[in-house]
Amino acid sequence: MKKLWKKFLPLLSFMIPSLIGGGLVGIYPGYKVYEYVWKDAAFCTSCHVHDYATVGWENSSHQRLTTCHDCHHQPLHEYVREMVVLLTKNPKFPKDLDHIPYIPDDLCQACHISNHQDLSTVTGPLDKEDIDKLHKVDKTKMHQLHFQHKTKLKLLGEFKIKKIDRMGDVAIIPSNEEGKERPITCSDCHGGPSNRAHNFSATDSACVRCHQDEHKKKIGKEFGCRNCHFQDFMIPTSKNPTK
Amino acid sequence: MIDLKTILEKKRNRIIIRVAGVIIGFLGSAFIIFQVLFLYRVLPHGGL
Repeated sequence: MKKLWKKFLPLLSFMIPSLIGGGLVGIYPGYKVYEYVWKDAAFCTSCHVHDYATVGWENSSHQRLTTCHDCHHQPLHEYVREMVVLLTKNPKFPKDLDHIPYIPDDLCQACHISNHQDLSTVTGPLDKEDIDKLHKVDKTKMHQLHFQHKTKLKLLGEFKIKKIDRMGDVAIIPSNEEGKERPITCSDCHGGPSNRAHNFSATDSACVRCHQDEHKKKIGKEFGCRNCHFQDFMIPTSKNPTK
Repeated sequence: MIDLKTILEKKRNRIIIRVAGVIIGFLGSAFIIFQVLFLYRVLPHGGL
């Protein structure tokens, strides 16, 4: 090794200026590659062709404000596994999507809770000042109320989609199956129908999972939940006249 | 030991070595910058 080093040392010394020059020029393209891989959804969607999810994200307010990696995190070895799976057993949508998408609370909280400390998950185009301006759910009455309560419904992540249901064009609504008591999570209401990923609007079907006994008369069936209750989820607590 | 003097006598060799240096430096630094930034983002969320 020492011999080899001695042999090439003069050559390397001669190369040093050009190595430094090339290295300096390489910093910018290196950063641009990182930016493309990490911050540009075009990189992800070049392989992940999932119609509902991509269309859902493109049509949502998140499209202009976030990128894939703001919410999609995984350990390093999963990136390697992903490449192997892509080459050996490329999963097809929707027949291979066997689970209901489940988003842990901390991902939502990074932007939607006031004074949230951990912004390390956010890498998209939003600056901290912009995030501070976003609607904070802990400051609204109905969100607060839901955060204080618990539910026995199973987490969305615990549901498996039957093969026969995956292929249909009908939205899959999680059942009312119960498990252990737990706090209500963002996904419980904003998870959307399972095969409409990235649809984060709270749907009436999410309300009904817990509130199935409310408004059994015509008004509930005709107008749905959100026509009357939506504003209570948006009005800040201090300005809420009902407080 | 490589006789640098003999190698560098030819102008063509000098150019080849310099171009190789620039290319190696360029690719090396681009790769390192990408890796450092990528790992900086990935490692806090699930580690290796």
